[in-house]
Amino acid sequence: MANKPIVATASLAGCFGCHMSLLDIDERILDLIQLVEFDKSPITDIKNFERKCDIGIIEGGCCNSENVENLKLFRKNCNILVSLGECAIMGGLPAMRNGIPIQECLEEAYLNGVTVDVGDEPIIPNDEELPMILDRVYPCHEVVKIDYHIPGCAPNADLIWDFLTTLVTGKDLELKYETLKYD
Amino acid sequence: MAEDLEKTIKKVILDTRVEREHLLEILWSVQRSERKIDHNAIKLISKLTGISTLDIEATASFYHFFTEEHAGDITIHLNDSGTSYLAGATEVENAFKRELGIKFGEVTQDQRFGLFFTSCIGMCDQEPAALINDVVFTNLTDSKIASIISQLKSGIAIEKIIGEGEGNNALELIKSEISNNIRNSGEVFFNDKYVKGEALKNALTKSGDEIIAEVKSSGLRGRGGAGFSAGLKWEFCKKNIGDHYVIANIDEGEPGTFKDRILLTQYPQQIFEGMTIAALAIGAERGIIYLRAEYKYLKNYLENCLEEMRKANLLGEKIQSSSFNFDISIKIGAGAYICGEESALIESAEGKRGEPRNRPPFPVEKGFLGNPTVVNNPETFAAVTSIFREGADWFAALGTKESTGTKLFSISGDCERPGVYEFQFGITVEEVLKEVGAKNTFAIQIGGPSGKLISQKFFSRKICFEDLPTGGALTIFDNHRDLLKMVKLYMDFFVEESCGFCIPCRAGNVLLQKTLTKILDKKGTKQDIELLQECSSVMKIASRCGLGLSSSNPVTSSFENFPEIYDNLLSKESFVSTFDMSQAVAESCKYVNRENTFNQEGSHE
Repeated sequence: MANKPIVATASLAGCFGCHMSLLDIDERILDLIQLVEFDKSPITDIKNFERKCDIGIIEGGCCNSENVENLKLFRKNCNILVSLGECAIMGGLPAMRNGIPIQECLEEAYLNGVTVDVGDEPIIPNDEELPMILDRVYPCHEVVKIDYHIPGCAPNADLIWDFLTTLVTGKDLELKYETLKYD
Repeated sequence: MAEDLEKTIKKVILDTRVEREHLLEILWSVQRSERKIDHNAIKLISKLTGISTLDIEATASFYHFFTEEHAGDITIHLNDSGTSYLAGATEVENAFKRELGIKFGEVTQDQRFGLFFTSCIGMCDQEPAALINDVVFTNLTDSKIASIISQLKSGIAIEKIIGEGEGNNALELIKSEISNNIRNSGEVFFNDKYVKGEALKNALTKSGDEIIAEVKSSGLRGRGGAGFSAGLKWEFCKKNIGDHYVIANIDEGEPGTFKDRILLTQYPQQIFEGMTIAALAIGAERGIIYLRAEYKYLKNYLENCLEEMRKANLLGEKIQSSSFNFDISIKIGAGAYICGEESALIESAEGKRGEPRNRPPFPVEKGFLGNPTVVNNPETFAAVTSIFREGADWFAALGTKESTGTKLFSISGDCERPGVYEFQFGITVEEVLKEVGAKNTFAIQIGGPSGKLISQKFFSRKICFEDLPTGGALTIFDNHRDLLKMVKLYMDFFVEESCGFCIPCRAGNVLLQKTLTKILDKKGTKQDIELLQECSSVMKIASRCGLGLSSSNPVTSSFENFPEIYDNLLSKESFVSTFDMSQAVAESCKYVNRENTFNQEGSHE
């Protein structure tokens, strides 16, 4: 039991779709927990790193300062760090704002957008507790060293399963053509 | 204003008949008079021509010299290519900014001046150079710019400010301050053996097949760079059914190449006569000169040359009293390197976006307006003229067995005598270096950015298709140059000039450029080198046309021949982050008025 690799996961600027896909391995999750032990993760609801982990899995890229801090924390506490899915690898949908000035983005989201409730006096949120939004959405590997990239939006459950089992059993992973081709 | 614009457009339409292929001409007339092509102008063009607004907008937005915003009454385009920087473009760049009080990419508040960068304008032997409202200014210096701008500000016409040019550049019809810098004489081009009409009269005694057979037996290869047999190309074209066309590809945009400029200035009749012989061979009645916008200053002169040839019955109807009709018209591009690719050039000549076509079918089968078309380099056509004057055997005896004849070389960079040289194929790199006065040569970019960066171990090699092939551009770097910076400048060029159609080229060039920047900033690691190699190899396989297939060459050839320029800069770490938190949050902190307390690493100071 003590020798099982310890896995931590996080969702940064993502939609939790990659985590959903992880859960999509269905009953194999029972086999998985025979192989690995989950630590800090939305799945376990463990909030802080209490020990060094073997594998860190990151969903989403970095769109604000907190994402960067979180990612750096994972890098510090995990031996192997994995970018899971399009957003972590390339920024994904959130990166569609790249190239649009911050001011325009914030004003569209909080002042002028069609979903802004016109009954209130709209404001741009600026509480000290809130992290700062970055000039663009960064893929994880531009911020820290990433050891593996698992493609997909979201990567399908079988791929995640294959990846984790080959990683912990030390085998080679073969990326099938379908996992890289989406059209 | 709108009425004036309507008049301007109508004038072009009347001159040319309203056909799609004249759209670029119409757009040029609007850009020239309005200094921009905005949505109102596009709507008006659409109304007058029947071409949809979306189609016009798509076409206009493709070309560098067409702008949606006002580009200034006086538009300055400074060449920012590698050779320009070798010659001191940074000083010139600062001088322009200082004199006008604006940055590049901006227009002065009164809209009098617009300041922009542009890719190589074909003046590599007299850099730094700039275009000011289509007028070429060469050998720019800080003080020269101060003087130019102050004269322009006081209202003196641009044409009055330029210095005197050399050779035909001094002619009233050209009136540019450009030097030809023809540095030697040669057997095929640089001599006074040309007698107008002699070659054509000779060709008129032969049948089409005989002409093609003669070109084939001369061994003439296309002079653009790929070196495909000219005779074979004509033969393929002739076999196909349709209205045949002959096009001279004068979109000489490869940085470091400028020999076509000299041919056009001094020997245009030889190009036109060669085109006429090609037309006679394949049965074409119409020829097109596709002239890059940067060489627009030559248009009136070339039109006049064509007119003289018509008067001499070397062009037009019933040429030399035969049944052969052929005429040549000039089409002007609008700033797009990719239009040097023959299928993109044809698209552009048809008045569309200059995007390369899928090949096959090749232009010899379906070219201009879907008809069989021969597209050749002007140097190829000029060589044809000499072949029909002196004979195929004479030509085949020059050069080497597989690369016959002589070649024009554009020489720039670190040497005493930059300019254009005529050498026989088979000359060694060493011999060229000696001839041009190059000392302490460390590297040569041969064939422009899409060619190769070669080291001293190549200097004994022969320049010809059997050994070291080239389109004739040699940019020389001596041992005090920062080579990797040059490679990066070449990648800046390709990022700018990729048409964006296919992903390997659109994204690949950007990846290469960013990774090189990272390495130059000493933040590159072994992984970045792997990325460069992987990315280059994908681009070489998967790109749609020659641009993407060869644009990684500066990276791959510099890595192969000068690995030390990379190794010296690589970090020993396995990863160096390029992320700077303080910089990344600066914009949002400023907007919400919060103090930026982050440092580069992301902790609070």
